[in-house]
Amino acid sequence: MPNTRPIPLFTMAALIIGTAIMCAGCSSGHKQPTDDNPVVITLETVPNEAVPGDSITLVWKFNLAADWHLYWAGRNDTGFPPMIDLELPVGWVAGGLQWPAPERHVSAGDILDHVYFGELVLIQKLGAPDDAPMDGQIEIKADVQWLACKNMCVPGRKELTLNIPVRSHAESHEPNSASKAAARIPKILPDGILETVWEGAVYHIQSTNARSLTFMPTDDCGQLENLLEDGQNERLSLRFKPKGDTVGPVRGLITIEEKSGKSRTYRIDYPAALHEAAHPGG
Amino acid sequence: MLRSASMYVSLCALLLFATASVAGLAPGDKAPDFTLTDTEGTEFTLQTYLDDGKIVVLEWFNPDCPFIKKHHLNHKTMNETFAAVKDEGVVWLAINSGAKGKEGNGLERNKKAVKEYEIPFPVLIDESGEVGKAYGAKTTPHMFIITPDGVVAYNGAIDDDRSASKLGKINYVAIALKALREGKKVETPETKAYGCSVKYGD
Repeated sequence: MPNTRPIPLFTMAALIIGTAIMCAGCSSGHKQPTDDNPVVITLETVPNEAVPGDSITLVWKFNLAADWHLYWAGRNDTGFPPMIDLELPVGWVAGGLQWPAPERHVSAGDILDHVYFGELVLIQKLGAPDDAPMDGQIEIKADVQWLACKNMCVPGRKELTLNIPVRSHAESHEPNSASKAAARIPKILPDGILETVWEGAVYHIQSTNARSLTFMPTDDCGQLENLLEDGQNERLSLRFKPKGDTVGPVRGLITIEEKSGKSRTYRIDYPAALHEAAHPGG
Repeated sequence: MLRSASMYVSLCALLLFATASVAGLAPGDKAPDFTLTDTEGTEFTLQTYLDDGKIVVLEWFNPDCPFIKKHHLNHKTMNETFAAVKDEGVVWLAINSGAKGKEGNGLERNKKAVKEYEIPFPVLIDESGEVGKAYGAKTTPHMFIITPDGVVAYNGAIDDDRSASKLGKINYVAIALKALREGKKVETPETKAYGCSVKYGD
């Protein structure tokens, strides 16, 4: 028997707001990913109107079919991370993509990657110029490319067009998908959580509360001797390849799995050090 | 193309090398010898070419990997790079280390790819993955250049564009081969290989 009950006013309002955010210019539909089409991408803006001199957030959502993965924009043995080229009107400025914490993924042949399963949500700030004409709309174009892999790899590409109204003020939609995604972007490691020290070319990292530590280097991290062996353990001893008379820097993400079972990921950024001398760091 | 006359190199000898370097070879390392069979059933032994004073290029291969299609089908990077040096003492061997049942595995599939991609060099089958693991091959393609004295002169990518569609501006293999043929040092002996993972068995 069909449900003919009226939709409560609150639910309807929530649906309207949700739809306004979800479909602001997204042109890819909301299909479910399958093995034949393993990635479904949607784009939202939060808020869905821009204000001159202010910024909005682009929320790129990649939904993945079961067991497929996308790549992190850090050090991996294979693949490449999603790449987004934006075509913007004059004066509009896009910030860098912000990435959530990936998973360490080891496959046969000692192949080490850092990847996302299920869903990847990237956020990106888009700044409107002070003189953006109000009560009109701008058009931005995006060329999105990715590589999705399971037991095979399939490259994907989607061109999206997004029309963003420009108004004198924008309504707030907090809490929203942008703030949820922002909460998943690793923050810089606060003081006092890890103990770190250089010993020659080896960077030791430990935490009294950690059951396991995982280090995931970004591309601008110093070269490591063997990330597969050194990158995950109760305590880390990261062996760096000296470059000239220095080692490091130590840049990337560190996931701390606490003895309580809780897991947190932070950004770490320790400068390069002279490799002859062992001295305290971080 | 020279074909190996040696039928006597045993797999046991190969395995001695294979266990030596799980983490992969660095430039300057000794290249493990191997004997593998191509899609036509002919055996190829690395050492035979080195004994003949050849420079050997190894390309890890999987016909269904989009990055291999980029360089063999959409563009002819590998064929063209080889064509420029094939009469100058350079041998090119593609190796498929994919395990049985994995993407791009199987004699028939690779035979078909040789025709479809018009590959002018042998595609060797390494179904056990032992040669791939001995070299630390991670991606398809993953390129190695071996000098006649059996040393790795280059390990890495074919070029500098990691996408599955665009060609890079720098062909590292072509540059390294030019340097070696001119008796010069390879200025960039190591880069980061890119591509699909080699589909090793579990």
